[in-house]
Amino acid sequence: MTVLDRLAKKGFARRQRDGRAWRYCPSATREAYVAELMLTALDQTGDRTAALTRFARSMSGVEADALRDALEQIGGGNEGTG
Amino acid sequence: MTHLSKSAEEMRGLADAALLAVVAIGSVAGVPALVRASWPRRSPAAAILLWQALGLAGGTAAVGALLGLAMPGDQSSVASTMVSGTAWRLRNLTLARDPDGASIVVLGIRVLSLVAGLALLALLCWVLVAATAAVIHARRRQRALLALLAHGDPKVPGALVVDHPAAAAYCLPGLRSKIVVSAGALELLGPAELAAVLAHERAHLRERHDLVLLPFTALRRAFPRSGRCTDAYGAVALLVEMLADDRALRARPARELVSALVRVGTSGQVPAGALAVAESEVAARVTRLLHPVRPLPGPAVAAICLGAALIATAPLALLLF
Repeated sequence: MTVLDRLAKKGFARRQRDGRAWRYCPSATREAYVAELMLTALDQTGDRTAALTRFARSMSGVEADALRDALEQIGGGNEGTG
Repeated sequence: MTHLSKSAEEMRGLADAALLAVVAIGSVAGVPALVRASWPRRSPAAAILLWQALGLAGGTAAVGALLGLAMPGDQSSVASTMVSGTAWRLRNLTLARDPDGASIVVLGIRVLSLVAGLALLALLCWVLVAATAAVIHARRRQRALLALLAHGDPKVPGALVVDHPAAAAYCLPGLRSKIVVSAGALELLGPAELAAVLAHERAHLRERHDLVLLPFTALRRAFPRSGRCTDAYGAVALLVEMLADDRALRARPARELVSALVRVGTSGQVPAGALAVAESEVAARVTRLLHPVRPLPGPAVAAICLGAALIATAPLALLLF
């Protein structure tokens, strides 16, 4: 009850009166919340604040290829996943 | 007070305002040079200090110049005339009378610069407050979501894992700071690379790099169309990453960090039309790690720090004395 009450206050749960009781249901799916977290993390919300600091941004095309070559040269590619 | 000494005081006030204007214009004009310079990547910490000084000087000097122009030489300093001078000028305007013998054009210029100065001051204070509030809000939301969704993983001790296939790692600064790694990144990176990522993120958190970036986020909010503000933000953001890279190198070899950077950087789908500025960021860091540059010698760093201190305090000194 207390936990659900707090979740409702934070907007993670919705509640409805049912007689003398409250009925709770989640306000979004787990997937939606994960997506929200990652969108913020990947900087794709368009709202760039200094709230987070990312390790590395994604690159495209040519530059990515050049970097992969550089990585192979130092041999990092072989011992990466292990 | 005789008429002559009054006008002499006024001349001094105008000279102060002109000097402040030079400092303001100089700090804005200095942005492209500092963006292009190659020495900052040799000593990111010193360069970050200089950026902070430039930002502070630009803001205080611009406000000071406008206010100084509005009320030159009424008293000894701009700051002390701010309150009394404002009321005095406005009263003169409403009564359309002119105790100095100044023409209506001069009076108009003074009132305009007074309004512009106060508006700029208000804008700068407001964007700093707004940027801080936005950051606090976003972090609170992140913390709440992480409390619901994230879990620990023995592969990344001390960090939180979010189950998402895209590779990402980031940190959530603050008093209860967190490092977050996605399941995609856990999959993509080996143990050594993950250790390098964690070392990099811990450096961000330990040295509060988010606070270094905050004023530049605020500046970009204040002038969203200004290329210089965007460039300044980008340059400081890159320097902060380089600084964290350097800290990570104390604990991990460069090879691990480079390999983690390239893997994470090339893993994602890049949204069309986005990240034009950010694109070269990872490449610049990788190049710097693969071909290390010697840090600037001690005397050069000391000179930069001294210069930064002078730049930051000069406008304040002109305003107060």
